[in-house]
Amino acid sequence: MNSNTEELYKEREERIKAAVGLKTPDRVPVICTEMDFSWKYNNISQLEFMTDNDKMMRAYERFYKDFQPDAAYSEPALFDSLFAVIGSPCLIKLPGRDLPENSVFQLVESEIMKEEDYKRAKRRGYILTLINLLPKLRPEIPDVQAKFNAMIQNQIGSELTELNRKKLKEWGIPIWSIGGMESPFSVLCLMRSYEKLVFDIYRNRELVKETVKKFTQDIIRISIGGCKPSGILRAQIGLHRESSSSFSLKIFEEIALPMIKEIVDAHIKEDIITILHCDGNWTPNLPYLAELPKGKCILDIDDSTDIYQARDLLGDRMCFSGNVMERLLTFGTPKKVEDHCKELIDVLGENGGYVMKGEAPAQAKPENIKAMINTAKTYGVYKA
Amino acid sequence: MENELFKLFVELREKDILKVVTDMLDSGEDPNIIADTCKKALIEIGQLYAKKEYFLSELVMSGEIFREVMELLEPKMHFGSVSEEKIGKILIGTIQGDIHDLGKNIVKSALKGNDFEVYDIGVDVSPEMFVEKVKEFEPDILGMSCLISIGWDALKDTIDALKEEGLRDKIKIILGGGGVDDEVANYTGADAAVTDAIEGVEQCKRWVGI
Repeated sequence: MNSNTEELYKEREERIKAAVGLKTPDRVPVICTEMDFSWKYNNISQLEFMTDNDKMMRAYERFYKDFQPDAAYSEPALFDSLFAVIGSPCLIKLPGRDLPENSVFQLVESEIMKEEDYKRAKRRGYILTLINLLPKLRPEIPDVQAKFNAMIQNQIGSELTELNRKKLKEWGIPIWSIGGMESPFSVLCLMRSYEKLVFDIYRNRELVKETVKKFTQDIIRISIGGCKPSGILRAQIGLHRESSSSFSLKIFEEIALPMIKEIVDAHIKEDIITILHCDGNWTPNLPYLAELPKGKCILDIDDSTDIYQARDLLGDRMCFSGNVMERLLTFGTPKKVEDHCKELIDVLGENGGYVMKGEAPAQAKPENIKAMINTAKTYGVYKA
Repeated sequence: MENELFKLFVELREKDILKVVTDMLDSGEDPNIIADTCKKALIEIGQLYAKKEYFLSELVMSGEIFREVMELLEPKMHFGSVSEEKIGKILIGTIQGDIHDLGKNIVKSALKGNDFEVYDIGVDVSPEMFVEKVKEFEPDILGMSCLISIGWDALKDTIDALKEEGLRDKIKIILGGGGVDDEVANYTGADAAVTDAIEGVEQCKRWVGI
């Protein structure tokens, strides 16, 4: 790393830390999900990007060089469907195998875990349940349970990831979060399917509650284990099924909220900030989140959640990220993107506590991503 | 008994509902009246959903309970005794390259509950297949589900293919799912885009003049 990029790395990391810690940085930090966009921007296929480390890293390098965000959204790593099953315990459709080469991979939620598996799951926790279901989850991999055990014991693939992480540092790019996991409630939903989980909750709520509680212990271990060794102490928890878009507030209060609190508290003990990746409409759920400890979480929201209410209810308690969405970056114009980003800065980032985050799909217009980043860097400057 | 059944149904008390329905059938109650009461409860649940007092989980559970009730009633119903009148024909499917079907299935149940005739052609449906099925089924409305951004071009290709075949102007087209909004409707040439099942049903009802 030369002194220039070393300085840049430090400056960017400090900017992010200030925003996350509810202090006022020099300007609003800005990041962008690069994994869906950069392969197309670099004229390679999605399949090449997922399977060829050199090509993937060249695509990332060009993205960071051309757009200069403040951090990488996630660490660069090749796609491994066996590794991915830890965070997404469901069937998967892959480009080049089940889908065209330039398609994104897709998760297929189905009833992999049966009703009769609950008692065992409640007793044995998430990882052992997952291992038990692996032949159904990854039927295409022979000896899948043995391979999975070897992978987690020997940390296969982690050397390459470490090298990629170092490369990013040489480019002056910090990493926003490491080791993202789905929440215990969301993994249960993926294994049971949404509909079946609804029925389970209505028919046997205590059993669901106890299972989620047991799963939480394993998910915490995985989350801390993925994050702590890297020294990047921001861990994302995917909350895809917890919002009012999927379940009632009563169910949220009884099952999801205690689990979120437990994860946040466990992360705090390890000095880890929890990124609550909130899919769907969280507006009705926001008041509950005021119960979380101040300055220890990042609320990552999309455009389904009301930013004004988020600010009013939680603005003094947690940092926000997000909300420059795929459709705006694709169908919008630089002017529209600029206007939206200015509103986000005015509402969510008044005195700090906001990290602008774009979600760029493959078809996003490069000029729109540039408009987002420039707005954060110019309009987002805080006056001393 | 009907009032009690209505109340229990709105509260989604599954076991109690099934017991009351069984008792009503045992005492000789007309299964059509029982079905009507449950349908009224479903409408009430839809209204509670619109008022944001109920959520998707309650809509899904109410659909499941209704299915269970109908399983009890159907053997005792006389063929043709339930109203067969449909208010419109809808063809629905998930767009090419997208294999998600949760939202589509919820919309399908809600449409059926509102007396639409629904023809579901599944997931990952090619533009050619949509065209073929529109010709075959001659729907009033075509509903296309799309959750992911790669589906936008497939939506546009499908609507373009319908235009080429001279079918576009004969139908209304509604997009549904987490991946669509008015911008996507404009880009693809659809008539409407919704992210909420009940909102989608209401739009379809307006189109068929209800």
